[in-house]
Amino acid sequence: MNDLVSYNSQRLAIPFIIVALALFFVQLIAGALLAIYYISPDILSGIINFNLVRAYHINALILWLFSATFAAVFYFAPVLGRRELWGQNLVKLLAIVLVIVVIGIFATLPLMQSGNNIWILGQPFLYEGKEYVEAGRLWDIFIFLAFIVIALVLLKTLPNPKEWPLALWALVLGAAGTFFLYIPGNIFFKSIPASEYFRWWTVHYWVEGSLEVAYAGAVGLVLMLLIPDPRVRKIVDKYIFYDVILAATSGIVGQGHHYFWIGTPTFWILLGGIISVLEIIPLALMALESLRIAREIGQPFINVPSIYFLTGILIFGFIGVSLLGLIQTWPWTNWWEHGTWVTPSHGHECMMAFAMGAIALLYFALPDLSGKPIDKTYVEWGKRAFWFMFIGQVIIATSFGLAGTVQIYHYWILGEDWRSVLNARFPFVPGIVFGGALVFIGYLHLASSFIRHLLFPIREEEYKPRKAEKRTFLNTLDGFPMLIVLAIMFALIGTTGLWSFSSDSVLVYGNVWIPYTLSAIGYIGLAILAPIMAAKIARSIEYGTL
Amino acid sequence: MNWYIIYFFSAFILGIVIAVVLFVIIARKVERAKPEEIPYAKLGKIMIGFSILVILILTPISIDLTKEKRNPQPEKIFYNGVNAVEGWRVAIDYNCMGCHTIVGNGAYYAPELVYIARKIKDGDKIRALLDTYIGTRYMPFELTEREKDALTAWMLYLRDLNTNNWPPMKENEYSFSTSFEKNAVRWYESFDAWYLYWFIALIFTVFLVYSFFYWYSRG
Repeated sequence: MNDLVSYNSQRLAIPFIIVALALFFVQLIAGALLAIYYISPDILSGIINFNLVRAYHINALILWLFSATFAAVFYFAPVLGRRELWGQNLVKLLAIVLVIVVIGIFATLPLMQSGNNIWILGQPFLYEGKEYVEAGRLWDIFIFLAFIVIALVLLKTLPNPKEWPLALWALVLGAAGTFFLYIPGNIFFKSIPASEYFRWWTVHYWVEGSLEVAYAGAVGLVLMLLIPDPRVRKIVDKYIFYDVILAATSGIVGQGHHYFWIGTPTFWILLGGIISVLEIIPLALMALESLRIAREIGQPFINVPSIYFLTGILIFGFIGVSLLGLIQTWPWTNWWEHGTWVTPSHGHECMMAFAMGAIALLYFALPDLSGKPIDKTYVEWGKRAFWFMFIGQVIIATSFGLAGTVQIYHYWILGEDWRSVLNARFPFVPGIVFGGALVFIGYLHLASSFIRHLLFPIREEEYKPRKAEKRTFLNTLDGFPMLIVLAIMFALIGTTGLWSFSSDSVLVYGNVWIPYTLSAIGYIGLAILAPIMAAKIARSIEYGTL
Repeated sequence: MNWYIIYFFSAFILGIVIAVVLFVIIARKVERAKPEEIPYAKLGKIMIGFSILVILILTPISIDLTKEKRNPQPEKIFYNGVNAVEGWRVAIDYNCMGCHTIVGNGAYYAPELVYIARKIKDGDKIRALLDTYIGTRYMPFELTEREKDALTAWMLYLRDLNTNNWPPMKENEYSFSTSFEKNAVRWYESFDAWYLYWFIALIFTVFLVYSFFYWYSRG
């Protein structure tokens, strides 16, 4: 168990954890249905249409990230304020409202199958019909009220904002920003460029701005609570400070990589292209700094699953967000990959980075909330959950990337009809299905370890962190900088692969093996490096062999 | 030679060089000073302010709030007397973006709509395509005649969007660089104004690369 003082009102976070786990399940089931569509489109068509399933897949994710963040806020607030939560009945009410909102969103989305929307004052009301912001205006109002409640509870529980650590500020401002940035994407604009322009304000500024800051804050709080050392607070403060500055300066204008081809002016090709490449910097710095902090602390941790999932943020942040993003952010590669399956290869690893952050927070809070010790089963299942999810997601992303490369050739260059394009992508669908199945097995481990901890008595004795018997390649950081260089090289090879579509060799002479081979080297190389890097970081922290 | 590539890489290379030089010059001073004495906090706030300023200036230009328009106005496009804006409403009501991509964004289960509109070009043929697929297992829902007309008008609007030559097609020589002169409606979109954006990009490159060295070396 963590050596933290426990407060009764922290247990109010439990309903939010359960909602998050349930929604995660919905998301995975929706993903499975999407895969069925790609294998055989006739089975579900007309019953539950593709666009509805996809709306569930995305909205379940957004809602469970919200729910997990709420849980983290209610778990941390009493510890930081050294007193019970203010307005506990309000929090209970919030949990009920959240469930109503979730059910409401999921119940109104099927209306899109028959187009029965309600328009009030020129704005859609029951659902919004745009990617990522499908949930209706009606429910947005409830979510807005929920955020006011949380703000009120936080301000009353932690009365003096001047004494808040920077990490808490980051968490609170990030969460508030997440909500306010939800607004521009929801507004109905008559023109497509304006509509898309502001929709990206929501989606991009979430992942690149507010969520990144909020999760940096949450991770900082975890570290500060784990190690009540003023030195750690200083390190965390610095880390939050530069993360906010660098994420904001690179992210605000780096937004431009969404504005290349949506009807916005040409200058975004230069501005968006250059500055979005630089978005790598805050993430790379975060990764380097986290390693340094881990090394400084230099003691084995007992809450091993939490550490593993935090590692997941780092690796997916580096490989998925930065490098898979780098492959496609250059204007001359984005030109080819935009609108193909190369994009979801980046998207899936990005979102999994945030999902792993949320899971890490839940794992961190669970032993405290249930009042039961961390035992061997908890650690083993947690580790297995991580590995299944991690490797599954890497396989999904790689399959998407390779299929997208094939799609570019068949769709843009050969100009084939859509059915042939689907056929060309089909060989990669089994990879996506297999990866998804692995993620689902991981989820089962995660959910069962949570249910076991909350509902059943724990009889095993407390887990003792063990030291490694000997130093091996996979439990130390030996040669880690080399792996980073190698990863960047693979990303550049992948970039060259997509770029080579513009060459005469491909366009005129049809030497399609050039982009295919280069992309395959890039994507598969990154896929092999990701688990190795994750293993090195996670295991060296676990066994204290940094 | 594609000039945009020269613009692109010169900003990078020059930015990194300047950042390294600045870092080497200031590094010794930084190592001796206490954290509070370093003006980085102020610099960071200025840079955040600068980014917000840049995005605020570029926003009205980007979404055609200016007098000269880059894209067609959806209010002015009709098919069979039905307006394109109504078509966009129908597209939202049926969540077209959940299967198709629109200007490349959306799901990837069904074809890109701008691409279809550019390939078919003709309004009547687009309308015929809608008739063929709506109500089948590909698009399993029913639309009224008016809704189909509205969607057709909206597709015509999508066809005429100025998307910098995207999607890649034979008609645009598989290149977006030809769009810089051809599609530049206003002076700040043409190549002549690129030195301005090049300079902004350079400032960001220097700041971010410098910050990387700065924070990493401070441990």
